[in-house]
Amino acid sequence: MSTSRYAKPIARLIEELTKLPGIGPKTAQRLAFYIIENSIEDARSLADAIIQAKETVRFCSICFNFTDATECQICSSTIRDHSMICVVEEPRDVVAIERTREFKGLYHVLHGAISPMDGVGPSELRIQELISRLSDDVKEIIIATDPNVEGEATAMYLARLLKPLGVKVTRMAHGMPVGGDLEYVDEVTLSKALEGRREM
Amino acid sequence: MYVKSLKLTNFRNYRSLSLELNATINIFVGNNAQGKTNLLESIFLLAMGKSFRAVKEKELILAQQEICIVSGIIQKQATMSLQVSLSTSSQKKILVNKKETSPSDFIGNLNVVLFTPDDLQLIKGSPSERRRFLDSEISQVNPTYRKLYSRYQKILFQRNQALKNFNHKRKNDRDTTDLLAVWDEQLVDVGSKIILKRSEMVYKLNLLARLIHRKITGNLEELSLVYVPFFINDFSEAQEFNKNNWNLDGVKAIFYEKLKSEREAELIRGYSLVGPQRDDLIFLINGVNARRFGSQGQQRTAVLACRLAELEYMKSETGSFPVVLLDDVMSELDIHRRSFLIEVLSNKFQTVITTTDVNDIDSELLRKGTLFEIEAGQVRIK
Repeated sequence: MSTSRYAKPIARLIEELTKLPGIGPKTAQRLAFYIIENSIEDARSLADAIIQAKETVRFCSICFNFTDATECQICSSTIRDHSMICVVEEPRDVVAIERTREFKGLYHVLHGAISPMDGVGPSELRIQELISRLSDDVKEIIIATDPNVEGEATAMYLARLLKPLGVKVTRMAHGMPVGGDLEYVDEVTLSKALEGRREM
Repeated sequence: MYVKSLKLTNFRNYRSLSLELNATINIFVGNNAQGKTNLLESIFLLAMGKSFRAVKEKELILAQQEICIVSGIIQKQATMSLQVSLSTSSQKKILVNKKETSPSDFIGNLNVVLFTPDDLQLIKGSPSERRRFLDSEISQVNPTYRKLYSRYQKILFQRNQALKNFNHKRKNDRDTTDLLAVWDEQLVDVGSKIILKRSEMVYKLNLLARLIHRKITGNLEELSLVYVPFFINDFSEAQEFNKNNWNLDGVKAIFYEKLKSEREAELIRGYSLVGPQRDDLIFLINGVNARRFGSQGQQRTAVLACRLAELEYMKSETGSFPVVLLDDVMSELDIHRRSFLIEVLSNKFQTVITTTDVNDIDSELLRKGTLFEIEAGQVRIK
């Protein structure tokens, strides 16, 4: 898209914004105009926030979630259950599970899933780091990778790797959304839910 | 179910066309290269979300134009609007009742059966033609199959890549073999479900096609459609295949066995040699493979019977007849087969026929239907 219809600094701002995920040219233009129409303090504060976040945030040395300390709040917490580790693909998955306030254990962020077509194998993921976390205190590994093709492959790989080490390995259940009507559930989810049925 | 109206904008050679269709028979007459097949293609596009002949989707857009839109109003119990729009610069958009949807939720709202002069390829062509036939028929009536199929394609793609990346120097390492095993499990699980669905579909289609074929040939010839999944070598083995094994666990077990025995070969070639992407469908006439030993006439009859069986199959699966698209096929058929086809084209469903010569069309059909004339992307009622 030609950006020559804008003044040069605006064109540059729009180009930078367009690089962000989920931002198309129209949204980028809206954001750019918003930033320009607001005060210089607001703009500086946004720029500072971006730089500061980028400079201070790193991976937790234990679980590889984002943190601004050496160890994240969850790993260093004494009230969390250190016998359970929930393995997820991305930091945003930790946020999703934390929202439930149900899980009291720890996490491990793999930073991706096995995908040969993207050149991602086990060595590109934080799998060795997960193995080195195993100790007598760890009783259960819950695998919560995405239920897509790559996430399933990663889950199977981990199960094959971890089970011989004598730790209990579980996989998050797939199935019916709670509070929904059966008739609106898509067919594949429904058939997965049937496969994973439980005796009552 | 029928297509009530059709609107084309910058589609192929149609700059702008609005058309009301007859609920039963529609005949489009025109010389070659005036846009007859394009019109059928647009209806097919509304059914399947893709063209049956375009190599690149962008070729559907009229030259020098940026956007092309095909939309239609479908009459079922209620009316429904379907739309496909293509653009030179952005992704294809498909809409049901003006809301954007995914391809797997788009297909199945309008069902079609297409007869074309290329139909003989179904018998003469490669197995991939026949698999495409199975997939498109089952996809139209079975939403689960559409999702299974697209998941299977992803698994296969990843597995092929994993085979390509396989490190032969470390082939005895647990880790190296595990890297394949994680794709095997999914391949077998989803692949077996696909095989069972295909088998079930061919079983039904075979019963219907056989009856129709008997009628066309006056009981002289017996047609059978035999599904030959990848783990079976030929049709005689398929016919004897133990029906007790046709359940998920049975198919999975055979699948795993095949994976094991083909492992070495797969590693050498670097892609998957097992799975439903190597299935076939065999047409037998009086117990003989029509692909190899059938005459051209026999093959034509078999394909005609198969296509007509599709109509009945879709009716039995969805409760309503599909829309029938006949692309210039009357001239291909002899008097006998033509009159059989015309007899079937009753008032039960909507038919869209194209022809270069109106004399090829039965007068009874002409009387019942609406005749349109196509010339250089313009259509008018005659």
